[in-house]
Amino acid sequence: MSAEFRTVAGGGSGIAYAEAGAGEAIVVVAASTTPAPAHHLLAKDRHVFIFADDGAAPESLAGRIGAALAALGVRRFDLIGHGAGAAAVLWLALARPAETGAVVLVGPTALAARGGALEQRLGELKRPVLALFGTKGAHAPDEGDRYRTLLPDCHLMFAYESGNEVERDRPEALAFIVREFCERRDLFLVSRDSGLTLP
Amino acid sequence: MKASLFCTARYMGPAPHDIWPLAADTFSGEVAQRSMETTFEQFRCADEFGFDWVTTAEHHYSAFSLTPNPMVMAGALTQVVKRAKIAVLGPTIPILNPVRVAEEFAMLDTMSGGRVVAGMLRGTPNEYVTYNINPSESRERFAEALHLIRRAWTEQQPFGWLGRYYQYRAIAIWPRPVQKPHPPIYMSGSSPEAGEFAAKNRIGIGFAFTTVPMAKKAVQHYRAVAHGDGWDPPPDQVIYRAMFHVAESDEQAFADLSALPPRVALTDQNAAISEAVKDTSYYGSQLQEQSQRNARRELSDRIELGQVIVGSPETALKQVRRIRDELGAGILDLVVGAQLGDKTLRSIELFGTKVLPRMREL
Repeated sequence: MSAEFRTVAGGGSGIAYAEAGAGEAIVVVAASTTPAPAHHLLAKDRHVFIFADDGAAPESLAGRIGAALAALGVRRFDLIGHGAGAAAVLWLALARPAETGAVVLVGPTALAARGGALEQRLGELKRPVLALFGTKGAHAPDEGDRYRTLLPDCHLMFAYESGNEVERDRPEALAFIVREFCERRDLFLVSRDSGLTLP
Repeated sequence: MKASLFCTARYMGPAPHDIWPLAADTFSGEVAQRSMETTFEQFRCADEFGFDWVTTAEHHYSAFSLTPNPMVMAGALTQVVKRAKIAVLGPTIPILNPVRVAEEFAMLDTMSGGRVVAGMLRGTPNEYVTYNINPSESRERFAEALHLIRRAWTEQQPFGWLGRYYQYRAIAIWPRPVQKPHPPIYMSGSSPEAGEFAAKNRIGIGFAFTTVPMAKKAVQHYRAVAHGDGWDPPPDQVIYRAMFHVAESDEQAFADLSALPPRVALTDQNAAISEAVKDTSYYGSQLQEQSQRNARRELSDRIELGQVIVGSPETALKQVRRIRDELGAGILDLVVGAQLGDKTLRSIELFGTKVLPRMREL
């Protein structure tokens, strides 16, 4: 946990965020700007920005985060949306597809309300999405299925022995899979791990 | 109360039964084929005479059992056993690929028309040598594999698994199980840890090669935890395994079994393995107690402790009744006590026709 986050009160468009690390950007939308253990791990080799889901309408929040990123000069980013923050992340990916790499949703609740405006737009999202749920997390039985069926390119995954706050329950696992997915996107389906034990 | 017949597909030629792993120098393919044919004949007989289940299980590198992959045996049984359920008790899931286990059970459930019973076992400690898996991780691997298998059976969309011991990027098994949501699951309930896990996950438990007093204590623990967790397992959630031999009279049955050698547990057949496993957490909090399960005993003691059911149908029924009364077990998994040719087939027939109908009233 070497990466030290610094909190910036009010960025380019007046929205607070925390940041740490260097390298390609990962933009996180979570309940607060307080980094979780997984964010510290990611900040070892990525530039991590954490924005708080402040309760504003997700589309509006996405607009403000997008403006803040533009003001910061961040032109390419991967996205992580935790819980309710998943909705803002999806709106941001819809609004800025050319700037968005991969999208990781962790215990997302973006589709908890059925038939909303976001749900209507998800078919337009062409970026690869990983929807990750904890096996101990509370969610509707078909919650994961809905992301996979509504998004054109969505991978569903379960994190064993974790609630939906995988970033706290299994930080190493989340950091590992985020790196894999952001780097390789759909190609992450095919393992690159060697099975060689003793050369 | 229901009955199952468990045949280990024991090698019926001369071979040491106290060495693990066993060299192949006494092996004969012809004898092995005959052993398999005998096993099928006994399973057919059980099916014909009303046994509710037939049971197969995984064991490796030993003449004790020729079913290192019980799924293969169960696949054959789907075509041989027409009525009884086919219980695989079970695959040793911590040493296997859990997705493969889920797929194979689903295949079996399809081939059998929804008659599969899915045992999920940790196996005997020696089995961990088979595929070079650390037995100290067995409990954690077991728990994760079981959750993954259940998820693979029930999840509608392809999914990945970010586990501690297992990782998959896309799982979408075909065929799906016929039984919904999935085949009934059983696991060993011998240790307090296992009983608690089973109770909290609403899984049935089974006891193999233990004693009635030990199983009784374990069942009480399982039921207490289950009750605290909001459910009360019915009798069918408890399986008790015992060896059996039934003949027309007590005298005949005892005479038939007089040459039965004392049973040596697979793990105890190799001192190094037995010793090494004690240093792991394999046995959980009850190392001493669990070791006692497999202690060598005389036949009379084994009968007294409920490890062996032997005698006339009337005597066998009394022994069964005691197991039922002590444990509240709903399923008795009967292991062929000795391979005695026609006498063994007659034993199965006598149990099925004279004991089983009265067992059902218990």
